[in-house]
Amino acid sequence: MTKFSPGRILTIGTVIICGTIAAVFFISYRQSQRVQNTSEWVNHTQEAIQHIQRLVMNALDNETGARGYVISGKDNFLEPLKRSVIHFDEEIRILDSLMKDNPEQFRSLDSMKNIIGRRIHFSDSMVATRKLEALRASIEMVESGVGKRYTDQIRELGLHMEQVEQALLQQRKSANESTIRELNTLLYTLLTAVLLLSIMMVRRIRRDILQREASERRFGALLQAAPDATIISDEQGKIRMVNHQAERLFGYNQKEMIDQPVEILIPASLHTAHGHHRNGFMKKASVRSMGAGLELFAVKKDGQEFPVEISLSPIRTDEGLMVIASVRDISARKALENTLRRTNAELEAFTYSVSHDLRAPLRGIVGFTAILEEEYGDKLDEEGRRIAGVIKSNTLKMGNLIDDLLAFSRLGRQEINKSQVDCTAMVKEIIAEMSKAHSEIIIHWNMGILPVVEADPTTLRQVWINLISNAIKYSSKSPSPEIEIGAKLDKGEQIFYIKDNGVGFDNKYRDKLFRVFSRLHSEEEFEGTGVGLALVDKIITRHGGRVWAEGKTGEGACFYFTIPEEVDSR
Amino acid sequence: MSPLNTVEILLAEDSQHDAELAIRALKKHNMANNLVHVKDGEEALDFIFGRGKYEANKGNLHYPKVILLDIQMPKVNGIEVLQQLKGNPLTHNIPVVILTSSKEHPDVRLCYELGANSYIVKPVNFEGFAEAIRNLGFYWLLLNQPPD
Repeated sequence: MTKFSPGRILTIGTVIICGTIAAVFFISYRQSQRVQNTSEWVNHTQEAIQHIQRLVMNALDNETGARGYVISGKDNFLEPLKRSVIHFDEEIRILDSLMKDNPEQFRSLDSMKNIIGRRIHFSDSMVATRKLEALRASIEMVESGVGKRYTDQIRELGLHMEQVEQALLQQRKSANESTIRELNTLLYTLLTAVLLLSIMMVRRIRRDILQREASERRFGALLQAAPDATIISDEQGKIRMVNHQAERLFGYNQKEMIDQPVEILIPASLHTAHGHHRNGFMKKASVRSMGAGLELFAVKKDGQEFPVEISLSPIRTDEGLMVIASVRDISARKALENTLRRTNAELEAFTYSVSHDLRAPLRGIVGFTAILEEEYGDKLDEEGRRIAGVIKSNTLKMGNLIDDLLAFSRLGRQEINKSQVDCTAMVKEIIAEMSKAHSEIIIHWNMGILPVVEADPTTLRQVWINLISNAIKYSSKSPSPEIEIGAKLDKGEQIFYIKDNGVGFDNKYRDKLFRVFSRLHSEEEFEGTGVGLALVDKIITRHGGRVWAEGKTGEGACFYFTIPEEVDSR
Repeated sequence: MSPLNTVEILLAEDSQHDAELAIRALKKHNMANNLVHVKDGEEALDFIFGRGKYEANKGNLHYPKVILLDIQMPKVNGIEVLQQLKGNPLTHNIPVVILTSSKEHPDVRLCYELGANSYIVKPVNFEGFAEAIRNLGFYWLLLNQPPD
């Protein structure tokens, strides 16, 4: 039942009820016909019985008349005799018509006619004999009992015919009654069915109505509870529902918005374009944000325009396609974005100045110290030459620091352009380059096949360079440096790792590793600026991945990172 | 070989010390014989087109074999100089090597788009700088013969 809509149930139910009521009408009609039929039969039988009795009475009159005349010889006895003959004819004619459809009664009537004929004939003979003055002979005729026998026969046959007629009536009555009973049962059943069906339908429809009301209330509550201004419009672009947030945002009250075109909320300059977009959306409705990548504007009642973000979702309703538009005022965000843009521009200028202006004096220091060493080296003693060397190395270190810092700050603003990166090829290339640069260190490389990942090639390369050069640096003092690079799948996540057997680190400091300028080794032990791993952390984070490390002092370190698979958030 | 009075290198560099280092590096490799040092973009253009204090050269112009051009200079910066040189049919064949503090500099790309032939990052490390200058000098002065 639940799969039918209330409308469908109503239609089906109505058809069934109408059909049943039609059947009830038909059955009632048939029943009344039957009743009428029965009463006709009753009349018929009563009529027949009445005429049969008259026939019998007539036979008695006939006999009495004849006998009277024989005894008295008076003509006034002949009158009833004559009348009885006429009545015989009348009654026989009536009974003929009443019994022509019943062969048995008809045959009995034939016998009756026969006996009556004889009865009349006998009476007539008695009268004729008496008229011939043969009193004696006529009395003998009476005494012979022949006439009485005829009368008795007529009475008996009449009685028989009466009984047959009664039995017939009884038979018809009971047949009729049982049909009427059956029809009545059917009638009651049908009426009960209609009643039950009606009750079911009413209950079902009532439940649907209640459900619909409840869902409308829920929908209304949802609409009002939505954090964003929400506007529901129909296919023609007329506003059908709004929530309080929309009233507050646009400055109209609900009444002022309902049934108005949505264009009242859109700056006039965008009306034409919006019409086109709306038609397009209606043709191919789907959940999406409006004008992706475009700056959208809305207009308040007082004419003030403001930037918005709108997401659209279509809903199919009984009244056609509707569109739910969630509108968010992004003025504050836009203002923040502008501030951010300005700050970024300032930072860019600062970076530029650091890059250019701060390096120039360093170049001077190193350059002129080098000239001092080259051209005046013979005038300096050993300590003087050592100090010149210290000046140069410190200045160079500051140069490296500036370079690393610039790279680090630039990465925060640089765009990540992802493409397919073959890590195996990339790492092999880096290892080849580094082995050449550090040819004095013999490293045993142990490298597995690395997967292809979706990443920004430039920055991912930087990650590998930093991790591999770290591994080389910190294992360079081991008797036989070994570096293992590989990838493993853990809970559907691709984890890359690079493991060395170098000096390692105390595991309790592992979180400090990735902070800018944070180092676990002194400059004398291993040179470095403390930016490399911070850079790795920043790059991996910007790829949506994680980076971590495990180590033990004197037993090497292992660095892990993940590059999650591209999930299209749009 | 070029005649003695032919300028082989025009160095446009506002920093006196950077210029001195560059000249020393070139001298080390005997490439600074016919070098002219100008202090800004305006002077560089004046020299090349025989204007201003170089007006005397006007009838007797010869273009340097290579120009080492700093980007950040007062008055007319390196980019504008590059634009004018590469936009002029008389000078657009002169090789221009950009001198920059950092290869990450956003202007480096712009310079290439404008037709710069090469660039040198001025490293803090003097040896590195000298080496770069030497390589480029060799290439542009000796190996790369400009079309006549």
